[in-house]
Amino acid sequence: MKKAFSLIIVSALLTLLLAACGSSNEKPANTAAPTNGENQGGKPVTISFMHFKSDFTDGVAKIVEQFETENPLIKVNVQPVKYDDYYTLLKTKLAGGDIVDVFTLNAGAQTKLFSDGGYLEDLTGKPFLADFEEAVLKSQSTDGKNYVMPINANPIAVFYNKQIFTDLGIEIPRTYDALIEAAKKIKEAGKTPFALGWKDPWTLSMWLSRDLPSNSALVNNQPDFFEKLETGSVKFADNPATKTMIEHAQQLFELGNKDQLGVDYNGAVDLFAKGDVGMMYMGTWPLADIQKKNPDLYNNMGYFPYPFSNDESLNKLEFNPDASIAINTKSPNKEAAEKFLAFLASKEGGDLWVKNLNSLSYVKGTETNIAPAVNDLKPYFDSGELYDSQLYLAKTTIDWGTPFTQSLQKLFFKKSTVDQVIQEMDDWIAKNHN
Amino acid sequence: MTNMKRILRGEGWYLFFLLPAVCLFILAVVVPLAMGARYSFSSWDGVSTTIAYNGWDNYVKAFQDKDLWRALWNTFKYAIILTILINALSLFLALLLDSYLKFRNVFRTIFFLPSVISIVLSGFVWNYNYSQGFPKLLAYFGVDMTSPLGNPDYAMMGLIIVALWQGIGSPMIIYIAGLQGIPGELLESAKIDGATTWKSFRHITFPLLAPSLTINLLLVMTGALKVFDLVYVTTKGGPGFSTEVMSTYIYRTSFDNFKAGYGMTLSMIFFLVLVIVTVAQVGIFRRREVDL
Amino acid sequence: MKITRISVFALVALLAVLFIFPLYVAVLMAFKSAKQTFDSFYAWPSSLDFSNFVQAWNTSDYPKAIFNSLIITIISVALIIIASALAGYSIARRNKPFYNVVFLLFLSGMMVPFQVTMLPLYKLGKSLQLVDSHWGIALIYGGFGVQMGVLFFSGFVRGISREIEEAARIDGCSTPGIFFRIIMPLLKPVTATVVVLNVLYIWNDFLLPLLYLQGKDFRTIPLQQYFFFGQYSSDLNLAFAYAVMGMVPIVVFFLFMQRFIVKGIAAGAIKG
Repeated sequence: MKKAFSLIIVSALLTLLLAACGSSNEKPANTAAPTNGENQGGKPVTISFMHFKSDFTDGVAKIVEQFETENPLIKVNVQPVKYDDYYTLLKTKLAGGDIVDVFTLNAGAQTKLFSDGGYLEDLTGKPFLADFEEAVLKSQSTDGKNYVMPINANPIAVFYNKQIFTDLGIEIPRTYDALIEAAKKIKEAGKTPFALGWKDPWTLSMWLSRDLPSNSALVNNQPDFFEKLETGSVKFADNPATKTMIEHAQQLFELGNKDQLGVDYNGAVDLFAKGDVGMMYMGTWPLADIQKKNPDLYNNMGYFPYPFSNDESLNKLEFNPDASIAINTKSPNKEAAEKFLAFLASKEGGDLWVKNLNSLSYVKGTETNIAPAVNDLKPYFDSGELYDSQLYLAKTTIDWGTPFTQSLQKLFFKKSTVDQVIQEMDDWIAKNHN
Repeated sequence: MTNMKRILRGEGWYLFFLLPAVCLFILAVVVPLAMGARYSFSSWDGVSTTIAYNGWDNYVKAFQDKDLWRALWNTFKYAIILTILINALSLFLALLLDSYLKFRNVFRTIFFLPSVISIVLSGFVWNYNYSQGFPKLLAYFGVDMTSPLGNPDYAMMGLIIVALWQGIGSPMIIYIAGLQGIPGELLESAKIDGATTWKSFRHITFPLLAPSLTINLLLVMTGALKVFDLVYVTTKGGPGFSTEVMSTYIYRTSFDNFKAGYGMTLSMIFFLVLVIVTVAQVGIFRRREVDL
Repeated sequence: MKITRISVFALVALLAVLFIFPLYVAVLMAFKSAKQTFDSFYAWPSSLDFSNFVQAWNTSDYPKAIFNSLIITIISVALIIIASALAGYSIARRNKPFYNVVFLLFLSGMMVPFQVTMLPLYKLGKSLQLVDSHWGIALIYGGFGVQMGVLFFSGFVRGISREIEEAARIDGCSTPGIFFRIIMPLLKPVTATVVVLNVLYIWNDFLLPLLYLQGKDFRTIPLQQYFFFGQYSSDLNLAFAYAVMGMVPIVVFFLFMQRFIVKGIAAGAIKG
């Protein structure tokens, strides 16, 4: 009804305006209707592919190019979107009835939300999923089914300046207390212990959404804490890990670079690249940038797992899935879309991803040598001392990271106390999710 | 019947003239607003295809929502401070650039220039200047500066400075135009009568500028209350919620927290607040102008 | 007296320097490489290096973005001018309750925050096929623009004496005839105002294109810029080169049209 009504208005409007213009009758009246001509042969197909790896637009483009040369009948229309806006845009598009054939998602909460909305094609049992370890598929499944295909993963750990560490005689810290000890030593030597870059909310949010679940699940044995949080049966106040995390945050802040909330991610990477900073908690993304700005440091920096607790045996390497990929249930080109996924799942596709995006692929047998610093982590990969704290968050759709980040920022500037932060978060949960 | 026809003939063209504007308005504003109003009675998450309606629940919730009041408070703080600063500075510049100074055309160009740049760009440029440009410059003079946007106490001021930088152009020109409309003889004779500069400003110039003042206050205030882009591209409401304004709060609720229905409720309330403020403003200024 | 004059001049000059400074930094960055910025922030590069610009030009579809921005701005502004001049005229001349109600509706529309209509607008645009089309987004801008446009035009028409119109009507001129032959030519100053305000707004607008023009082929300058910043977020110098390129057209427009713009704004303020 409404549709018809608006249509009438628009057409009335158009005729009116054209009439009003009077003189030029030859106006091209219509540009909106899509041209159907090319589809006549039924052969060449175009699929749309939206992804959030916009830092690596060119890298993704190269992978797609290779796919297109191998599949001349399929064209991929790539739309890179900045991560900060990605989910807003994707949501608006899908809710507005737009069909994006293939898009990246994060396994876990986001995937659940979109599969609940009925937008994700069930990929369970598709042949191309055989290229991945069973365990990986299981960890990325939603309600027992695979709605997304894993693509790549990143270690999230601590970069350190080897020069500073040897000069000051610091060992690689294996416990949280040792980490702070090391940081204090660096500070006494007149250098900056941590480069933070917390002007960009995601940097702080990335850290806290790993420290808190790690401590809740592994130290305080509450692996289902976030699940229960959603149903309202527990509160942040009931979890001692909350307090631990807030205290950690406070310590990192105090041992961080000057202007912790004014320097953004790029600024932090610059600081680290200058060589005056001891450590930086981050994924592998800044490596290419550091290599460009300070090649000497690039070859003389290391990488160690972030010790979230004081129990060495728990402090394994955080290894997280990054992008996963899904097919839209409403896609008219599912066959072509599946071909694209199969390409990404092949060894060739996986290697291309590693090479062009500086990241590790989940595809079996792909290249792992991405940078000297990352090779420091080899022992952990070899012995399988890996874990994924994000699994503890997989069953919740609550985006508590963003408000928690804001509340912590108040704490840093002494505008609230630890207890007030916890109270504020519990209030927020109560308001938004019960 | 013939009566009707006659009215139509006389009235017809005028009604017809209204049509294009009304149609555009209905398409771009009325229909979406009506749809939005409908969603405001739902618990829609913004994604799912089914929408569950829950009556007035959202509105009841909104009135107990502490964050809403905080966002409203921040919005008004921002808008009022900005309105005062823009008007003070642009009036000051207008007085000087109307006739007093050399190179006044060059200066006018410079002060207007930031207004033509998009907010995406100016946010990007200022972000960088706050965290890198200014501190590195001040370091030459031994001053230690940190980005105001990184401190909850100064972040709002930091935003207001960017908005001031971008917003001074048009008000300044409106004031200059207002000043040029003031008959020169009036000020001449005041001078002959021995009035000081301040006195002639207070008693002659300022009252005669009332229409310009009204329009500037109104335009700046309505624009400032609706601020979104600037906050979004610089602080996203942080740090510590210190720059969270209504429009970013609504955006966060609708998209980050998946509460599109509640977000619509918040925007309907915000809409009401805006209408009230504007009506009040227009009313007050009308009366003032008559007094003057 | 002389001393005050000089000190006031110095004060204004200082203020002007402060106003220019952020843009100066942007231009400075655009001409340097990442390494040069990293080594010394404020030093001028030893030679003018246009490679950032070349690369920015090659990696983005700059001419296409300019073309899109131009087309959309022109269509939208034309729509706004025609629709609001007509409506403004009839509201000003028919001082009847119905017209006043319509007028008030337009006014209150100006208060609607964009967030309320954002999702619905997208849904609507999608179902009417207004998305990813120059005409589609122009219709929406038209709807936004007529609100203020009607305000300005009706205010202006009220200030025009009715006598000429009455005379023309006696001579047998119809309403459209009067409007197009007599009123239109008189509307030039206020038209300038509306054009200026809308050109600045539409050219720089970001959110509506973000919603409506996601197809690569339709992106406007601010949108293209935004995506560019996202894609080259770690390559700031390149981003600044693109930023400077994005500023050039509107700044040139402003410098050439300055007189006209200033007059436009001033005229609108006095009559509106």
